[in-house]
Amino acid sequence: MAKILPPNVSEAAFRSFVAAAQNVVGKPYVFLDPDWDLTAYQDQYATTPKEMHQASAAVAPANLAQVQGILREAKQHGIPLWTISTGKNFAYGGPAPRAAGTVVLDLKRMNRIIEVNEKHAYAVVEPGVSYFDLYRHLQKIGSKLWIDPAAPGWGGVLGNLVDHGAGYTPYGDHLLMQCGMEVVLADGKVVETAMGALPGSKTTHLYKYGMGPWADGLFTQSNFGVVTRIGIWLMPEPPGYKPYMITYENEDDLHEITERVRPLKLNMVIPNAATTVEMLWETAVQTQKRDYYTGKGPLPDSARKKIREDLRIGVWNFYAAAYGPPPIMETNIEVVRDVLASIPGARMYFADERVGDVGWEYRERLMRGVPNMTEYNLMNWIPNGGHMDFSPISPVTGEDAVRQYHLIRDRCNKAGFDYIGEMLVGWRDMHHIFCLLYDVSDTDEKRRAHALFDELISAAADAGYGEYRTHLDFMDRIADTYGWNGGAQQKLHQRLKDQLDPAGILSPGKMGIWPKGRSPEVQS
Amino acid sequence: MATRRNFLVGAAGLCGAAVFPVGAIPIAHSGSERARAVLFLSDRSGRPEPDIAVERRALSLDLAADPMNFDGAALLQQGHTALMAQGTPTTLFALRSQLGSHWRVIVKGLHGVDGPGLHRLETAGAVAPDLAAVLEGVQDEDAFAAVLMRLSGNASAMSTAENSVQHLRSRHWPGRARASLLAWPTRIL
Repeated sequence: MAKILPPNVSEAAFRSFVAAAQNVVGKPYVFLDPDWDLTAYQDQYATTPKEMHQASAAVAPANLAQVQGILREAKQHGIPLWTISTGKNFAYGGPAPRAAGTVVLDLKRMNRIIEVNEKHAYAVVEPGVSYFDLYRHLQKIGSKLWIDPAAPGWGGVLGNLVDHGAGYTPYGDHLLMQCGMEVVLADGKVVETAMGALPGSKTTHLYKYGMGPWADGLFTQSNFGVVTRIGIWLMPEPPGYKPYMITYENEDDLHEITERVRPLKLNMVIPNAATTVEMLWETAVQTQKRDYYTGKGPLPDSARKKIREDLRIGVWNFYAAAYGPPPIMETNIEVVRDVLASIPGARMYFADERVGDVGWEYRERLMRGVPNMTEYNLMNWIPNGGHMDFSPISPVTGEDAVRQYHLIRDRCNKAGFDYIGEMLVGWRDMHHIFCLLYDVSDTDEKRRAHALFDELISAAADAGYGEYRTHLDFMDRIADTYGWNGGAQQKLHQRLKDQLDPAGILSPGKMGIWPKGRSPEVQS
Repeated sequence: MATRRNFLVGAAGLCGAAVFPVGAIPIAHSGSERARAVLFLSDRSGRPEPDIAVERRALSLDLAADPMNFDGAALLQQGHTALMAQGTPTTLFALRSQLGSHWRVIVKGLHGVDGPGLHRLETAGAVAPDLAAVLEGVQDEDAFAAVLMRLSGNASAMSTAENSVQHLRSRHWPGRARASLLAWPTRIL
């Protein structure tokens, strides 16, 4: 890989920045060699040439003062920075920057768990703390608090939250559970948000909103500042936990499942992420496609039937859990049984009936906050598996669930890919996650995957659905779909960007937000 | 000890600057030679040829994904001079992500994914003919692990050569599709 420079930056200016950055963080933590060091900052699942997202350097500060120092030097030298925490965001581009030549601001050395407050049930962490780290720490100190991990446990607590990630316990809406934030603005100014703005505040991590506009959200999925610390509410270990699974025999059951889940979620009979999983997701975490089919294209019906028999799963597989004192759990489970297991052909399972089932076991752990990596086994479904996730939000209705399923599944199969998906119901919405799995060594397959993704964006937007998160390559495309009233929201983002980061040094292109005059459209 | 780049992660690709030393396959290390400390990671109990100092450790996806278990700098500090791993492709991807720039992947293999006895080996072009000859005689993945572990070298001393993907054939290895990885240290801490 050849060395590159940041856009519109001279060799001399870049060298001057590097020297300054080395003074700030120490020479060992400025990375320059494209072959030996910077491969760590590539998107390993890229469907486009890796050069499109190649970093010119990476800088790893160890503390707040060093972050400020790097921002100061970046501003002075006109160097764009791309902020990452643990850098595991692989379905959405991993640690790679949106624009080639951007310097990665790698925060994983900032890995302190600053506080665990058992009484008020929260933790305060820096960007480099992974779910594994926080879980291990809580175990070590004998805490009775749970975390809410993303499915791959190596992800960062802060990074996942600021990218609007979700989990599987009742605390699964991560941004909702965030309380208190420390942000460094582009000019180096440090801001404590909400209650933290009060000197000597005793409620920084107890009340989210403070007084006046709630600013925290502006620093999520954005490039308006560098988040260096967050408070995160943790769920106290409940007196009881009882996960369950319900299998469904028919593809058409999706409509009825979703209709029946909605009131159970609205009324909090189901307190955690109510997850309806298509059979291939269940299958791919524990088998390989070649075990059932060695031909080209999507899995045929005959193989799907054999899989369902072998793994004792349905076409759809529903997961949730009851939490609390046993009498309350049993009452709620009876309601769930009456409502969801009464669909013809449905069968309800509990832990003792799924012993040894890989799919059950990792979800059972996720729903009680135990981080693990099992879901990553999806990548074993095909040789050299890599993925991008297409993630539209849906209303919780049977009609919308079926419409989205067909919208994605039909195009996906036509393009020669398996539909591997799940739908997670939160408070009022449903996250539909389609794991687009392809062979990263197959150029044609990557091209088709890229084209399919692009087609799905248009099809979903035409039907009134937008994505909540996306891969680097599609940030501009999806931002454009949020174009109501002449793109008023994008223009608002742009105005904020221009005011908060007039030099345009922070994460250019993140979620389609570019510094003035530097978007690809303007430059082309 | 804080070391340069001991936190780098994610370089799952094969490094472009590694080639085998000419005549490196196979190298039998006699007792008179200084024993190399090879770390052999596997999610099953293989018995590769142990005529060199081999430390074996269990490997799973959860273990491989957590830097507490596999940190590239720490492994080097422990004196390992080569690292050989076998497991699912996902597990090896996770492991590679933890090794960082202290280790260079010299051989990255996928076995059985294209059919019984078929192998994809991503490695330096210069070594491909030698490796092909070796593979013809290898009967299972344990034997393949032994072949890789007996290779010696230091990635930092390698010239720059283009990587290539070789599609090779062996006898039908028993078991499911698997992945393998051989890595050498690149720098002295």
